[in-house]
Amino acid sequence: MRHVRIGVTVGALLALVVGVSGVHALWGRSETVPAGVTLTGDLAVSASWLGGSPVWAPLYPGSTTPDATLRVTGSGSGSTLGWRVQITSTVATQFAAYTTFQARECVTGTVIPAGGYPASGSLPAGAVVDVCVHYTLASNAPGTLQGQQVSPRISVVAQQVGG
Amino acid sequence: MSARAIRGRAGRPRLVLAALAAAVLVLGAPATAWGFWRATAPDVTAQLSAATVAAPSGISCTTVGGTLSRSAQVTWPAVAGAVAYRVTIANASGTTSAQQTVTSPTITITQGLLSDLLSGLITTLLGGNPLYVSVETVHSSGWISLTHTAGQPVSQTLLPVGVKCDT
Repeated sequence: MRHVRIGVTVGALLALVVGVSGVHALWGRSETVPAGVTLTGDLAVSASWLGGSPVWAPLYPGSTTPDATLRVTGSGSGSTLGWRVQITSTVATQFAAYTTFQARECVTGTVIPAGGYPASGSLPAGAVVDVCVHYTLASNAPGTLQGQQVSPRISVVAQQVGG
Repeated sequence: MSARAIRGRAGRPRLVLAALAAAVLVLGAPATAWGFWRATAPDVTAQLSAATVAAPSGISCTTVGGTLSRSAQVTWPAVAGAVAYRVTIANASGTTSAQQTVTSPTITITQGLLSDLLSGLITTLLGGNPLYVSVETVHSSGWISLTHTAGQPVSQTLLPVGVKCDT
């Protein structure tokens, strides 16, 4: 019985060692195939308002700004580079609880998921995505917010998902 | 117990720690190499503010009535988006006050109205002291203007009895 236990233990250890070696082998192999391009390449993203910064009328409770289009361009070396766009927004502290932000891909109307767009698959290097964004002021926003700056700030991130 | 034995026991934890650190390095290095890239664009900003509900830009008062009674008709310019106006009638110090909501940009101040709103108001008026009428805008969004028009003074008139505008 003791030998069996020892055997099982040694076997488990061997399996662990082989498993780890397998990971190393996979990693090592990625340096020799074209995927190595991504190891020495780059990934960048830019975002700017299409047609200039939006001119939004001041918000009343329950009202929403018209859509404004944000053009997002991802770039990077490597023809196999894949990426997703993630968009988040912050506003002035006093508006945080009363303001909602929505970003949609303009062509399809798909809401940009928290995990990035597209939800499955990826965008190729050099892809351009037009994102329609708007803000809504909650109907229960207090009157003390009148006249204050919402100060929206939009963060755009390109997240590599393949390469 | 010899000094060497003591060193041996003290060194054992270090050996274990070193082994753990080596294991973390060996296993962690490939994981780091697999990490996906992330690029962030400079933040994009825009101009956006909360709206402001304006109070009526002015207030005017006309004494109306005949030989039997007088009243003060207070009016003001309509405000875009207003669904109502909140009228405050108060004494000079503001310690006695009452509010009345109207949907049109006008209100007629009579002794009867003052009595109905608050007995303290008619007492003030009959005591020879003026009352002040100010107006706030109630917007369709539910917001009320943060400011109000300057108070229009009204006071008692004896012949005929009633309320008159004070210029």
